[in-house]
Amino acid sequence: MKAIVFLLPILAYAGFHTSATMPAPETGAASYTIDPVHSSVVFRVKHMEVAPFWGRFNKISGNFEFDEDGAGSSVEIKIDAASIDTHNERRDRHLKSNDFFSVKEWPEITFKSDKVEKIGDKKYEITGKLKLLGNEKTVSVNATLTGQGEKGRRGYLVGFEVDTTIKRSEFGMKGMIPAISDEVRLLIGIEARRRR
Amino acid sequence: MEPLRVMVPILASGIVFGLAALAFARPFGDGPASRKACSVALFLAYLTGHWWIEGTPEVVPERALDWLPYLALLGLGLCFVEPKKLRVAGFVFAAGLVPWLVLGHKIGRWDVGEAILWLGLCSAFLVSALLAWEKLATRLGTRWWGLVSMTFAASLAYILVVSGDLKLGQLAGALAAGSGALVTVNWLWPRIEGTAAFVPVFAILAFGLLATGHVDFFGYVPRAVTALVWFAPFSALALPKTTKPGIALAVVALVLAVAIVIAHSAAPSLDPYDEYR
Repeated sequence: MKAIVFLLPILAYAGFHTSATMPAPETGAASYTIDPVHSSVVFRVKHMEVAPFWGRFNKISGNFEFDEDGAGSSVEIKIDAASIDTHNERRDRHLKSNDFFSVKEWPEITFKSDKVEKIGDKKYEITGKLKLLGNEKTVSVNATLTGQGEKGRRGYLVGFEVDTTIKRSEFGMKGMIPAISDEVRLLIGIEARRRR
Repeated sequence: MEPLRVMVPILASGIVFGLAALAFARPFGDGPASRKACSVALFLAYLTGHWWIEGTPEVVPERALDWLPYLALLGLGLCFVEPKKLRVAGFVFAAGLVPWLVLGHKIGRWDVGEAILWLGLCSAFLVSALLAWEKLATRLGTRWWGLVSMTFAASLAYILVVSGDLKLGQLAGALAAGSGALVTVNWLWPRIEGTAAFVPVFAILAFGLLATGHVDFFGYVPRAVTALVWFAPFSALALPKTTKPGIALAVVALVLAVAIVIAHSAAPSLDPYDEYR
C-alpha cells in the first residue's frame, strides 16, 4: 500500500492513471481493437519428449465486443503464421515450411467466437472456431479479464489472458510427432483499446 | 535413430511395390501387359508412404499435400487408357486439372494475369513431361527407365529436404522407392515390365511434389532448381536414339547433380533434424 502511495505522483507525472483512479467498468458491450504491440501469442511444445520449449508469434490482430456479462461478447483474432519466432532463423524457416505451418499456403491462423460465457469472477469460456492449415475445429478456451480502465491518452483499455492446449495433429500438422509434441500449449495476452 | 525413422516409410513403399507388382502380374498378365500391374504397384507404394507419413488421406482435401493421393489415382486412371489419342487427351485434361488443384489456395491471391501465367506454365510443364517421359520410358525399356526415374525421384527428395521440406522429401522418397523396386522386380522377374504405362502416376505425383515445394508456390525450392529437375529427363531425349541407355542415365544424373549443387548453395539447412546451429 505504501508503495502504491509512493508511486502515485510518479505515475501521474507520466500521464498515466492507476487503478485507484480507474472508473467503474461500464455495462453493455463495447467494441475493442487489439493492440498488436502490447499483445503476445506464446506457445509451448515438448522437445524430444524431454524438455519444454517456448516460441511466439509476433503479429496478432483482431477485434472484439466485450461486456462483463459475457453474453453480448464476441471475438475475432488473426495471427500471422509467418511471424513465428523461436529465436533461431533456420528453425523458423523449417516451421514455416510444409512440414508445419505451410505459411505460404495458409498465411493466417484465425479464431472466431461462437459463444462467450461468464464462468466466474473475471473468468470467461470462449467457444469458437480455430482455423489452422485450412482445418477449422471448434475449441473452447478459458480467458481471464486481467484489467481494464481509462488510461489517459491511450484511451480505455482492457486486458485478457488466455491459456489453452490444442493437439496440432487435429489440424493436420503432423510433422515430427513425437519429437516435437502433438500437444501445444498456447498462452495469449491481449491488450485492446476501446473504439470511439 | 531419426534418419532411420525417416527412411521407414520409404522402405515400406518399396516393399509394397514389389509385392503388389508380383500379385497383380498374374491377373493383368505377363510381358507388356504387366505394365498395368506396375502402375497399380506404384500407386499403392506411394499411398503406403503417404499414409505412413501423413496418416489417412483427407476425404476433402484442404492443403496442396492432401491432393497428392488423388493425383496418384488420376495418374493410375490414365495408365489404363489404351488408345493413343484418348491417352493424349487424358494427359491434356490432367495437365489442366492438376495445377488447378494443387495451387488452389494460391490462385485466389494472384491477379488474373498472374493466375493465367502460372497455371498455363504449369500445365505446359506437366503435359510436356507426360508425353516426353512416356517416350523416354519406351525408348529406354523397363530397367533403365526404372533407374532414370529412381535417380530423378531420389534427387527430388534430396532437394526438397535440403530446401527445408522434410515431409515432401519423404513423399518423393516413396516415389523413388517405387522406381527402385521396379528395377529390382524386373531384374528378378524379367516377365514383369513397367515401361511407359508407369509414367502418368510418376509424372503427376512428381509434379505435385515439386509444385508444392516450389518457391513461388508453397515451399522454398529455387526456380532454377525446379527447372533443372523437371527438364533433366528431357536431356536424355535430346540424345541420338542410338545412345546407350547408360549414357542417357548419366546425362540425366549430371543435370540433377547441377540442380542439387544449386539447391545446396541456397539451402539454410541440410538436415531439418539437426540442431539448427
